[in-house]
Amino acid sequence: MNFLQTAALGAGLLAASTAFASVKVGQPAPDFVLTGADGKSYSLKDFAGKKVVLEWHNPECPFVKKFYSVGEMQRLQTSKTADGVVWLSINSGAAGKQGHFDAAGALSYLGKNKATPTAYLLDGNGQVGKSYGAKTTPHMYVIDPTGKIAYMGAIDSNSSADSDDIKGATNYVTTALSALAAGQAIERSSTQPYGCSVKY
Amino acid sequence: MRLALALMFFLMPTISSANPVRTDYLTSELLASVTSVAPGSRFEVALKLKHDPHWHTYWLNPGDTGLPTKIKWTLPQGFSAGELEFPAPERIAVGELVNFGYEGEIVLLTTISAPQDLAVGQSIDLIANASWLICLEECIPGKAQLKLTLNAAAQAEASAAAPLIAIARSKLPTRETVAARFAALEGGGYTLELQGAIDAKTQVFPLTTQLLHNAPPQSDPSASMHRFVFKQSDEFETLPASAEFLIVPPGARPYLVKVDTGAPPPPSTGAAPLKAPPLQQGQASLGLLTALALALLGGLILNLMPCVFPVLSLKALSFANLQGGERRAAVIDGLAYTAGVVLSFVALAGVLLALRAAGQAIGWGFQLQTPVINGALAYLFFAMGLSLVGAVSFGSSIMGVGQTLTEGHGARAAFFTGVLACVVASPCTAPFMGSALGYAVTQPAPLALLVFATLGFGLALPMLALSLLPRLSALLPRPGAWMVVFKQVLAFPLFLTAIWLIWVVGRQGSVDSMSWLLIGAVALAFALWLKDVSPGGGLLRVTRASAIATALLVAAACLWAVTGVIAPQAQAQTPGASEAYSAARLQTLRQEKTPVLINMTADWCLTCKVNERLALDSDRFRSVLAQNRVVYMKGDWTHYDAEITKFLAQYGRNGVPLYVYFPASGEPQVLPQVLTPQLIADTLGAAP
Repeated sequence: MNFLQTAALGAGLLAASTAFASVKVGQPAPDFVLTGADGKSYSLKDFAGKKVVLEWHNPECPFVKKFYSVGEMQRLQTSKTADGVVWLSINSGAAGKQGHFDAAGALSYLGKNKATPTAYLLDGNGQVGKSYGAKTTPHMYVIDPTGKIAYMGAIDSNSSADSDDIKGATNYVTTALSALAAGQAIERSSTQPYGCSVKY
Repeated sequence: MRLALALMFFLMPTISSANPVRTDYLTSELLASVTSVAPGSRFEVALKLKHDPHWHTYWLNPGDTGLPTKIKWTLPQGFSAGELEFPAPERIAVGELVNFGYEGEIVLLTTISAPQDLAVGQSIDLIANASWLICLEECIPGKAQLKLTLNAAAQAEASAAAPLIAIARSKLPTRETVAARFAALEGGGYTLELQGAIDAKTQVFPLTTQLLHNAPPQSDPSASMHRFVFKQSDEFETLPASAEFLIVPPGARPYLVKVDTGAPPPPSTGAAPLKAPPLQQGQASLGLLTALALALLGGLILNLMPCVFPVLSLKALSFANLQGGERRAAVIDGLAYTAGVVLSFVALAGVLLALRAAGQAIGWGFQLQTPVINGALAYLFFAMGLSLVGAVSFGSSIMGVGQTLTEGHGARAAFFTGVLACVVASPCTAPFMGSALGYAVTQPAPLALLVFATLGFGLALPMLALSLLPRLSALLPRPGAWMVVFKQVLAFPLFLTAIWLIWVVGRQGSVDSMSWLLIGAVALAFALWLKDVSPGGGLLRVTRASAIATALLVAAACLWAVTGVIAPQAQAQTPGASEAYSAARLQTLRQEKTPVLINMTADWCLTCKVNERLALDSDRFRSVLAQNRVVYMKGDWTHYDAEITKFLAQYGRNGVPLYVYFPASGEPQVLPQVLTPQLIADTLGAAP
């Protein structure tokens, strides 16, 4: 590679690599503006005053399929959005990597699986994922009505890829949302997430 | 031929293993160390995993993502299986994420116990339901059911796989109790300090999850306990009571270490948490003026310290030389010296404050906690001593910046003498200085720097007075031949100071590091001597120059070698005399209502050593301890120690010595910095 190519590669890498941040429970959730699969623009600010759940998604990851194949994630989405919670599924997969979606692909997936998030957001350049420090799919964040992070980490307490393990597990997202609704402190506010790595 | 084959078949030991199972990118196989199981015996079962190239499975702590390999056993009645044991993993980076896992071929072991009432001749089926996650970039959960059939016999019989299993066992980590310390750093992050054969290539993996960032820690080999610095995990929730680490030394067996984190006990246990000592509030209300007064006094007293005195006598000597018409020069010299001292103290304090702001837990005297700096100072004093005694002289000096700078006359020389005085004086926290410095670091930077500047001013004051007041300098004896003798005599305190510094390096390292320094000192002396040898012809000139350069390089290399020498094990102590300080242990003792005496000391702190010699190392002291059933804890602050720094800060201190007595019940008492045996006896003997 000649000098110009090396320089270009270096510059490209520099531009592409956004810093991998990490957020903490109790801190304000980083704002973002993303386009949904429906073509509309969504910003976290739009949902101020509501409880928001962020679900990092990769349709081909066995751990995501664990929940979608038995309809569990869909059930959660339907029941929580009916309660007034905003559920945002986010795909931070880079183009060409496993599980990346374009708008049409996402809509088709949602229809086929009868998934009902408030919106399915496309984070193709991974910036939002990195600003949250999203490591796995699924990686769950619960944001309270004041915009602060109330829970972040695994979706439940049984880290496996087996759908049979859902029944015996504590669902941390459900627990966190109930605690918020009752005005109580959340016991497990930060857990080790499990899943496939996000394909930035 | 057929007979031979049949014989071979007959004699071949039966290999007790399931057929290997092939799943996505992995071949798994179950092997046992025996073919026959004896009643009441234990044997090993191995899960051999052969990964396709570049694919990996995970360790017990998988890291940022991933799942550890697991086995669910189905065993005949009476049999029990132990934990699945893993060999040392590697760090596997996936973009920004760090995982711990394995590529290639690995063996995981489980110890199985057979019941005593095992019927001989019975067939034994061991079924392992193994599950794992195998990844390259994508991940595929995998599982296999592997079966082994053994038989029960009166005696166990080794299988063909036994050697493979023995090798695998020898690579599995053992559990060791080594001296280890875990502490939180101000500004975030944690340190793990370990004793033992640790070097820069040793890897450390956290087993405890949700505590530490999985990236490799920073490694600091210069302390007597090797120190690793970790960042906090992104998933950190609360500090667990203990943390476990896997230590992997290159070419040696890995081992697991468990260390107390010093986390406070959960409130539900009912134990009263340790109260912050009330002295904290007392220190804060010290007041700026009081702190400044104490700093000034402390600086004055510093003049008498044996490490400072020889340096200053040189200057006093030069003032003795300047009589009559050179009065004005003397005033300038005095002011330059004062400026040197004050600015150096302020600069050192600035570095200290900046480092603390950046998250390092260090205290005053930190510059003498590195062997290299001590070694360099030893060189300096040695060279200065040589010059004073007349062994070498400095004409147009090409080396030893410190030499010419402090040896000559003029404002520049005076300034650098001041700098030198500051560097050597700082670690000896004299009485009065402790509180002032403690106050200083709790204040905003400008006030803190003012306190340190006043300290410097106190140190400079006698010299300044000499230069400004003609009457005082008239008290100095008139110049004469005696001055040459006096100059030579002064060399000896300098040699003694050099020896003191070499001794500190010896304590920080070992006899080997002392020897390196001594070799380097000889090389330095050689270079200095060679400099004065008359050059002669052109070729000899070149030879001489290169010889000088080589000698200096040797001296520098010896200084460098000092850092490479591993420190010895904890110094041999009189059995039962003292314990090493640990915050967790102190807490336990206080909860048990045991009286504790804490001595925070350091090898480079003369006040500490004097107190120990006079009051804390005697038989009388030991009998007072035994009589009152007091536990004596010694904190060695010779090197950086975050836990001790935290303890010092709790009492508003920034340096050593610090003596605190915790009675069985009641508030802790801070003892004065000058101890006497009677004082100790009275304090420890007082009614609880």
